Amino acid sequence: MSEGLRDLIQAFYNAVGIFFVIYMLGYASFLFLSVAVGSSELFSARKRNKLKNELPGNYYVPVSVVVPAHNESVTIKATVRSLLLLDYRLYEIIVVDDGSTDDTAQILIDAFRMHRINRPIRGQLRCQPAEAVYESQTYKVPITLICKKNGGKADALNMGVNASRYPYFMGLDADSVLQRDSLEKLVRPVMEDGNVIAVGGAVRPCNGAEIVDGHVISYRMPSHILPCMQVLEYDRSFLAARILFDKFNGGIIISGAFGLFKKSAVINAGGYDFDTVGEDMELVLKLHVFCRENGLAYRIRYAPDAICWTQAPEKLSDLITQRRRWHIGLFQSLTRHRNILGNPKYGMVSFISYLYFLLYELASPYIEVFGVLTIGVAALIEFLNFPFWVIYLGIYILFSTILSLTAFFARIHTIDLRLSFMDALKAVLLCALEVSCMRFVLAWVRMTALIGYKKKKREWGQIERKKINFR
Amino acid sequence: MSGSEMILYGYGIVCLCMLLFNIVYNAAQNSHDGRLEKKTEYFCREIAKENRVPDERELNSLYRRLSNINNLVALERALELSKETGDEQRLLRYRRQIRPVLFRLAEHYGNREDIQAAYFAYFLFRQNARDEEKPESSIQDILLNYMEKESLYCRVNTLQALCAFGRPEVLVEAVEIQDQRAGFFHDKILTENLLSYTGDHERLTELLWESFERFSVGTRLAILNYIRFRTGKYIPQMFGIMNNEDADKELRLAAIRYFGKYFYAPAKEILLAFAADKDPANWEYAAISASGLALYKGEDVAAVLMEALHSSNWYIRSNAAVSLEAQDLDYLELIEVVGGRDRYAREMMMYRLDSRRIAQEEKEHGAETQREKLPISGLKGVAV
Repeated sequence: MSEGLRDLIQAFYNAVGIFFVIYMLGYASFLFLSVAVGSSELFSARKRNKLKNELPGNYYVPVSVVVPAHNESVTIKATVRSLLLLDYRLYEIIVVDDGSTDDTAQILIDAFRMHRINRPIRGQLRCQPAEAVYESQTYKVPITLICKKNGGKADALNMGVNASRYPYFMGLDADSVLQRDSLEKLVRPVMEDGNVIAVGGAVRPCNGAEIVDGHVISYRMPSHILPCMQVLEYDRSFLAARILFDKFNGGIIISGAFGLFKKSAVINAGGYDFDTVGEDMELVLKLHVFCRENGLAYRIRYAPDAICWTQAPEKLSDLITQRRRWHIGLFQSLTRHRNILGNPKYGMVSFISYLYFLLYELASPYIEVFGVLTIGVAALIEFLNFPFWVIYLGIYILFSTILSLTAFFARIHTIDLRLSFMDALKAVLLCALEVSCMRFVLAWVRMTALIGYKKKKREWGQIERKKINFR
Repeated sequence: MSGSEMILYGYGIVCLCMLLFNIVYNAAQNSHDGRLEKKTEYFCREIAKENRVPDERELNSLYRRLSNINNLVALERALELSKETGDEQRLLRYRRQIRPVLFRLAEHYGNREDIQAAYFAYFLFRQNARDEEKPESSIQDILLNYMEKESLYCRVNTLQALCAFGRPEVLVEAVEIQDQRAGFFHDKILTENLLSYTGDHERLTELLWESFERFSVGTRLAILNYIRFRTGKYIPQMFGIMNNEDADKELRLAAIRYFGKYFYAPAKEILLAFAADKDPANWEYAAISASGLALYKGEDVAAVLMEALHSSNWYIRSNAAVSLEAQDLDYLELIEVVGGRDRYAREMMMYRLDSRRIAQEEKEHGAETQREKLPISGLKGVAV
């Protein structure tokens, strides 16, 4: 190798090195901050609750619960049953069957004594028309089933918003169940602050949890490795980060699985966009844009104690489908609202939240895979300081593992869940596996997610459903 | 070692400390649970002791003990347990014995952090609600200072306690203090607390009304809603607000709702005028009046409601259809007459008819309807 070429490669690697030091430092700082703030907030919340610093559950704002369902015959009954068990008093349940080809609708009609009815639905948001509406007045709250032509999840949610009677609505995935107090806790931020227009709840994998009458009676780490690692990932990446974003009104994602919205704000902002597979994030960004551009005071909150249990994919192929969809949704949302980037009007939303999602979520798979490739090439051309690389990799794994465990145990200890010793050991061991292996597999999946984007941009893909352990 | 390495190691050390904290916290929590159990048992024994008046020294000792929030939590648990298992008289006697201590504790917790003050207010609320004994009035005066605190939870717990104590003058003063604060206080919280008041509601409404004009719109709205759920004796005042074009819109809407709950013949004309108003800017008045007219009968009412069925506003049509059901009309005939020329009106009325049919079928089927009647608006009238 000539001296000139060697110098050139050296310069390239120096530049790569500087870039990665800055990049990783930024990431490490964010993770550290989010886990530190998240854990401390969870401990404070526990202390507040123990000393009854909580609004008693006597204050109710009326809420319409909207459940979009497409081929959810396996889980839909458990989901509606969990909704009927809520401690909340003033709500209605609206299930929107989005052109299911299985017997989702029939299961509901039979299980909840539903009657067909000629109900006019107000067309405030664009969606496919209703083909049939069923209602049940038999239970403590009204249940409505709307059958419509398939139009996607966003379309089904828009239909649910149109049919809703109340000023707030809660979107809930049909493969999820709630605890008895989930809605009450989700509504609490609305009672605390008049400017709240949206509240996100905490979504947790229910694999391993046993829920009876809306109470978690036993909690174990899932038996399969894949959902187990997702449990750890959820705590580190979602729970902690969202608590941090909440501190400065910077939340730009509320999981589609479980979120509360002020109906008028959503309608004014234009509702769910059915041209994206990341309609949940798109809506929250749209709300930020709508309120900031119109100079409206608003708050988007996160309620970590409002819990929704959902199924984490157990098969790698399902996980890949899910993460591919998330990444496409992220790409669509961020590019659609690119005017937020570097815009002082958006303050921290622009300079922290948006930037974080752009650099460390959207771009990260490309950067990470590029990093791995440069290391591989460096090893081939003998540019790699192998012992130093091993030490750095070790530090990275150790650091991420400690953060994951901190977030995980903080969550476990602050919600009175008891873990067996074996489960705790499992968590410790799988943490390292998650940060050293699963992360890179998912980076590859996310990196390739946009290949064939034009074809897949509105596809949801199918994920295998299992019966939820809900009695 | 480079700067970035130092930062990473620094973060790692802090994270390790956090992990360690987690483990220690968990261990401490387990041990704390055990200690709480023992403390609760101690207070249970104290409560169960035979009739014996504690002397000054014992009261001082109890005060010192209860100055620690964990001991107060244990006492609360013990009182709840004794309530379930022990005899009422003994419990009453114990509460009477510790009353001087509670007075001192009110001052003590008033100077502690908000989270502890909130718990003390909660403690008073829980214990007062258990029997006919009322705490010393002076405790209520001290509690007024709690209403000045920053924490919303503290103010809500205090308000709850004052409502349970049933002294209207103090409660009105607490509402005034709350109202003067700049912070947000949801009107539903105030209305629900006022509704839970255990004293003389008539006197409370009188006092609130005397101060009514001094309150902010949010507080006034909460008071109007409270009055609507409690009494039909405020017809002249509500009539005045409904007719006052300078009054805040929310207050006028609350007054309209009042006449949807309490019949007052002179209000009928006003409600009819509101319901007939086709100005889109006034749709909320029209929608709520259309709902309120369910209480009023007559051909003029039916005519206005039928016309309202053709409104371009969904809520007006929906509320008018519901109110038309309350009129003594042949519903099927009505659908033909009114709905024949308007698809939207027809759909709305068909829906009402279907709803009625389903309700009837359910009734005949004997299905148990567990729907509860709620005091707060939201089910009836406009919901946007």
